[in-house]
Amino acid sequence: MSQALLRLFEDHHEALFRFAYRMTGSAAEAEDIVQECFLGLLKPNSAYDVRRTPPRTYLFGAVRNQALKRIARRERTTELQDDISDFGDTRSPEAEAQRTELDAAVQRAIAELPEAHREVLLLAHYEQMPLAEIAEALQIEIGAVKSRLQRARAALKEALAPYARKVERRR
Amino acid sequence: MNDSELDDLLDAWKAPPVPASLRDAVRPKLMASAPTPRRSYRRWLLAAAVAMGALSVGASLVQDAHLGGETGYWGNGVYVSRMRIVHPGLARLKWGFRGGLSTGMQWKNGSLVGSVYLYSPITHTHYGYSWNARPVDAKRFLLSIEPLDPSVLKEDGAINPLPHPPPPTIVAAGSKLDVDLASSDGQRVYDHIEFSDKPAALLPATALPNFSIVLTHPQLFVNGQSEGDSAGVAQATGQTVRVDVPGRGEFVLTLDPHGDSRFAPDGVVDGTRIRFHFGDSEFVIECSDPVAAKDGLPVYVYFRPDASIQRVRFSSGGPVKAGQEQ
Repeated sequence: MSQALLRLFEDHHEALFRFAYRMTGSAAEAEDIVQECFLGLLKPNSAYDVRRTPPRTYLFGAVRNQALKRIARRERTTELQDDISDFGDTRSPEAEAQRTELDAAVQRAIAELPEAHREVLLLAHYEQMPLAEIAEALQIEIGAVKSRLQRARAALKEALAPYARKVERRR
Repeated sequence: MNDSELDDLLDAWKAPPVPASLRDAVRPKLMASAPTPRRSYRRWLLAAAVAMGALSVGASLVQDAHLGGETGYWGNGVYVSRMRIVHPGLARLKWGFRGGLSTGMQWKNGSLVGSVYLYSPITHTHYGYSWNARPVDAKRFLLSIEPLDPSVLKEDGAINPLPHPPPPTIVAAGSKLDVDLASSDGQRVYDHIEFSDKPAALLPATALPNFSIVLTHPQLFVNGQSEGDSAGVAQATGQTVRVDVPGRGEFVLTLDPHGDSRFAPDGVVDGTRIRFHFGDSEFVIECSDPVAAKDGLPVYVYFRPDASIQRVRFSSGGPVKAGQEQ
């Protein structure tokens, strides 16, 4: 059992950490989430059933659920979300000029997507997960995955259009 | 914009590397779930492993967590260290990234004085105190914990009264003192202050929560020129640290901006140094010990201009209130 769990951990913890980080915007929270998910496998009442769900699919679903819980808790009880949501109104032009523009712009544009669109985009683009597997991990229809992905990408094209033009001008 | 161009743009957002502490925390617990040859013991051992894992996780939630701190020399052979602690440890998620400030220390009218506080941008409330240490004799100080001096505040808002202000106390090497900044709903944030006749034991970066910065005997260099040292603060630690630069302003540094996009990834951890760029200048904070648990981590920088700053100062502290930028 330990070897199988260790293999699971070695194979997937980096991708799960990336996904959790991009969901929450916090490396510390991402670390906690991935840790909780793997330790959850040790619990006697773990929901994981290898006969029903491939391990990668189960783990991404578990990380997603934990991330959503933390985001909800953060919105209720802490100021962190305030810092994020206020960002658009609080940057000075000088501060903005100093930023690594593109990285921040992409992060911000994705953060502003609806949650349901964001998680699909993160799994499809950054983790290269097949649409059918996304559907299983998120427990939605594959048609919903496709439409959410299309909407997410359309919104990002609009939000990031100024940056595409900048990149184009530099070329 | 076509799909390929969008993909290129999206790829600009890099995730940070996986912290080594994740492997260190998870692998031993997974290995502990190993079965034994004797079937009858399997269930018991698995239960024990689960229980140990649960106890470990549970303990991490209820134990105290360090948020940061400072150490320094008061004179008269007295060294002081101040560690900010939150109980239970899980509450660090709420308190660990609040705004705040430590003014360090300075002599004023024959006493050492300073102020420290946390700031909540949600409730616009300051949690902190000012302190005054007057030498009593060659080895002792009369330490008074006082209401937070409003003149040091960087943000608008109320000052939360100290829950349990301690009376003026004579302190010397060997003294210990706790000062509560906030205490409610089963959560407590307090400063644990210790005095000794030797330089306080400085915390290694690995002893602090992940993504902490530890500035030990820091010196600041701008474009290769020395700007100054820490003026008595031997160590400043925290998930965020603040560097005041004369004639420029305040730089707040963190390894994990918690999604706060006001921070830009302009720097890097380089052994005992933090290097970052701002404008046309290169800033290097040179320390005597490693500044983080891991080399090569990106350092996120937030800058607030303040031309009135007259000396270099290193302190623990969080980001400023949203909307304070000039």
